[in-house]
Amino acid sequence: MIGTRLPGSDLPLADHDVIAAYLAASGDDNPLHRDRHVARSAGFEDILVPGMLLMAQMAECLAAWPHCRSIKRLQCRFVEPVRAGTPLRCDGRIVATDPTGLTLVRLTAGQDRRILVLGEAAITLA
Amino acid sequence: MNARTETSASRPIGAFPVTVDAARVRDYAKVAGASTNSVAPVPFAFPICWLSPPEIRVAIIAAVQEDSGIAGGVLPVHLDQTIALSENLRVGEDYLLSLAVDGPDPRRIVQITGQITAPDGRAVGSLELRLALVTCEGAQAASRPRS
Repeated sequence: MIGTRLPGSDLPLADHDVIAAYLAASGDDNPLHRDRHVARSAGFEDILVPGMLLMAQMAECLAAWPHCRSIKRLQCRFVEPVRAGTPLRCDGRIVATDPTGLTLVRLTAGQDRRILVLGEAAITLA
Repeated sequence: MNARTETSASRPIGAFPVTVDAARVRDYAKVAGASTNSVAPVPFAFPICWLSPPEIRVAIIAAVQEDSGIAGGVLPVHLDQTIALSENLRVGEDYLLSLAVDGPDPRRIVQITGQITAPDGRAVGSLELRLALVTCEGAQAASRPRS
């Protein structure tokens, strides 16, 4: 199984409306994610997509893979801040099996060849 | 299964009762893009929602600012985040979230760790976040509890 690739998929576009819905659902009210003025004062061009939303989307992308029975651990590193409305594609590949028998999957979310989020998941296989 | 163990420099923030609210799960799953093929009814990343209530957020900010020398309001930007669950969370279940903070370091990076336990004390999972603290307009208001 090592080397097996997940079918890549486009993450749901996190535009202003989706981010607003996420903030309402999650309870997050960080103004960097809802107030363009605040975001600009912090040096960003636009409001930022919450990292927690990106992680949630990547987890769902993995969870929808028929070979994934359960996710045990997911780590995401946010390589760069992601501006609202940035289209992202999620890809993944099985890279190893850990000593406990869990399968390790390397995940990326990015635009073209630019990786914006780097993840590693430990899963059990179906 | 722990995301990572707390470091010796971790300071406890507190232990907070949390729940897997059905309506919140539904809204969260929808916006996270959960499909009917999902392996668990509760989205894997759902526990991160538990950090959002004002009483928890304010406790985190207070712990971060304590003895850190950071004056005024700050806002967190995620650098990385880990969630580990040894079992699927159950809708309607109550859990206890025990939080600790380490930092900020001289680069204004702070680490938050959380342990999730079931009412019977069983360890269910853990959270770990590494946040960069940025100072900007609006930060002061965001760090205050809402009425």
